[in-house]
Amino acid sequence: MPETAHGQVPRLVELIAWLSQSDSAKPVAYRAAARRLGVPEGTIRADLDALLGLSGEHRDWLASLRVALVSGGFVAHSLGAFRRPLHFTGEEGLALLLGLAGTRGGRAVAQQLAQALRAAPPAELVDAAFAISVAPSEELEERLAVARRARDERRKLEILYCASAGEPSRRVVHVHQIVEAAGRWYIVAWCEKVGAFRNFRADRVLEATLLAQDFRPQLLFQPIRKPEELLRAEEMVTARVAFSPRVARWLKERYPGGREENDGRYVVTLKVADPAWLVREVLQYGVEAEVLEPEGMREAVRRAVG
Amino acid sequence: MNKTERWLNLLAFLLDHRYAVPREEILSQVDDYKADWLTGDDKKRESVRRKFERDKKELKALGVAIEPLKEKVMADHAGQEVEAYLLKPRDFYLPYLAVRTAKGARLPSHTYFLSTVTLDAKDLPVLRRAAERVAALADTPLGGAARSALRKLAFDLPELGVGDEERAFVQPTPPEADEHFALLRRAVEERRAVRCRYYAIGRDAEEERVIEPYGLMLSWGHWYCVARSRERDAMRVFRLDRMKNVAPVEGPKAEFAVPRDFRIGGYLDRAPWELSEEKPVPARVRIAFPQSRWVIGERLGKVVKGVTDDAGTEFEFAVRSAEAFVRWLLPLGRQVEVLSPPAIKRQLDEARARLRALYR
Repeated sequence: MPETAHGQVPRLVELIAWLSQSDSAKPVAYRAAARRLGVPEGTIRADLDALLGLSGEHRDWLASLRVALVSGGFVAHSLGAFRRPLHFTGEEGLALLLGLAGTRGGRAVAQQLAQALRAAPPAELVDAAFAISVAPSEELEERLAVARRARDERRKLEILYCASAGEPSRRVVHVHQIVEAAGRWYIVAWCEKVGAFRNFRADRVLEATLLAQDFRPQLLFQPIRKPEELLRAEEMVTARVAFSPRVARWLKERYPGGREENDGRYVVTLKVADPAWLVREVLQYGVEAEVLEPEGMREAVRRAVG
Repeated sequence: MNKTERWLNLLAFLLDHRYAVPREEILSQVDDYKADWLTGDDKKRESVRRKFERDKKELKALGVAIEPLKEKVMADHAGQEVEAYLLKPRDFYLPYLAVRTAKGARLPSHTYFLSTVTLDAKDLPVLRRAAERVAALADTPLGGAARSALRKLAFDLPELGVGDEERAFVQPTPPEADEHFALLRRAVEERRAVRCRYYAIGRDAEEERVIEPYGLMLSWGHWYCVARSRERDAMRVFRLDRMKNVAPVEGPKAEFAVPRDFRIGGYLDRAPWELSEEKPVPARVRIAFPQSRWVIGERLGKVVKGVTDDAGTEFEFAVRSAEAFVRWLLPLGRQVEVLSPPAIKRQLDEARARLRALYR
């Protein structure tokens, strides 16, 4: 979608405000500005062009705006207008109100922020007409709160964890990241027991106790940036699954890249880290889904059905 | 000069004036209005006037209200009164955000005379948690706004910045989803119907629909519009990424009223067996440990008996679609037993028998 003034103006006001905060004359790299503002470098360059266009001709009210392109970046600051960001726009206000509405104690904070949220839709309308997935259950929320505290204070966490197959086991972990995907929460942590990173499903953490000992974050930690990375594992299982014509159209959407057979069945090859997950995934479709191979996975389905 | 430059010029001009400025002065000094206003004929001057009115209207959508003052001002010494505009810093800039602690308020450095929103130290964790929830919107059509809202919060309160330590993933959306979301959001706020083409996956067909959008929700990684379908005269839930050619309905037929008791929360995170229009049937099910914990964690069903002999839990579910409910029970394997009603118990047994035959 082409850039519009609605998107560009608040960003430019924010860019100048950000750069005017310090007295440093050090240039900013395009990449750094792009990362901060969450836009491509090309957008930052276009923004700079707009600012240069403004400052090209002397105008009293823009006299204090200074913009210059230098090697590898740019400098920009103002002593006049735009030294502070524009207040929350309607969409920004809506996003904040949605975040607060689903947080315990959030409504009272929203009231306190009302002055800054004047452009947002009225709080009553947001309550009635807009929503994001409800917070996890109170119990899960408590577990996650302890995990977040462990992460932020860099303290070790002892958990009683029950994986999909097997008995619950106690582990001491170093929490590095919390991830949510499709309504499920994961605690990404270094596990002392296995000496490697593991992604623990938060709803399978039966107990979580914050320990007094600190941990040092793993320097080689790679945060999860794509949902498929949640399934990383040393050993992946490859399985072929056929879905009947009755459910094929849903599965084409869920697993694009499969092949339609002559009998109308949609066949996909899945690489999975957790065989128990595949069993559950397939069973939810009943006889409309069939694991074709490997035989070990067929046996796992057989055992689950009993 | 493009619109961005004109707007920045206009805003800087108004912010630089601490007094009300007559419209004549704005149009004769701010670039992109100036040339045609000073040298153009009546037609061109009228076009400049309209451009200024359009700019005011669009800037209002950003929350910047450029309205004429109630009191008119003298345009010249001849005593003619004209409309004038004043953009007060407090109507433009983000108020200062501060935290009150035991040692007093921690105030940011003040550049302008703006009001300060002072929060209690105990509010910070709430705001931080809310910020994390807002960050979860990052890859959705509300993502750009969510990210900039968080940066603005972190301007004075850096501890509210959310980085890679907290991530949420949603289903990828097609490029037009941003535009559809903005249009539907306006339709919800202004209560105006929209038309669209919708792919109904259940019927595997694309259909023309006119809908009255009551609300928007993000659930299980997808944005949905909860709306009254005019064709069906009933409430329906539409997935945004299955909507095409979304356009506002024009004219008086566009308007609609939303029932006073409508709450989108009633549609949020519904389980698949709650989505049918059938009358709900109570089903009692025993689920063994540890699966019972996962069911509780996902807030599904009502716990009726905390711990049974096998350290599991008895739940009651309101089942509108028995087929969907059985499909949900199947992956729980032998850990689950349906206690009532007999019809659902029989359906589960039959489904298991068919699976055993398939994998024989």
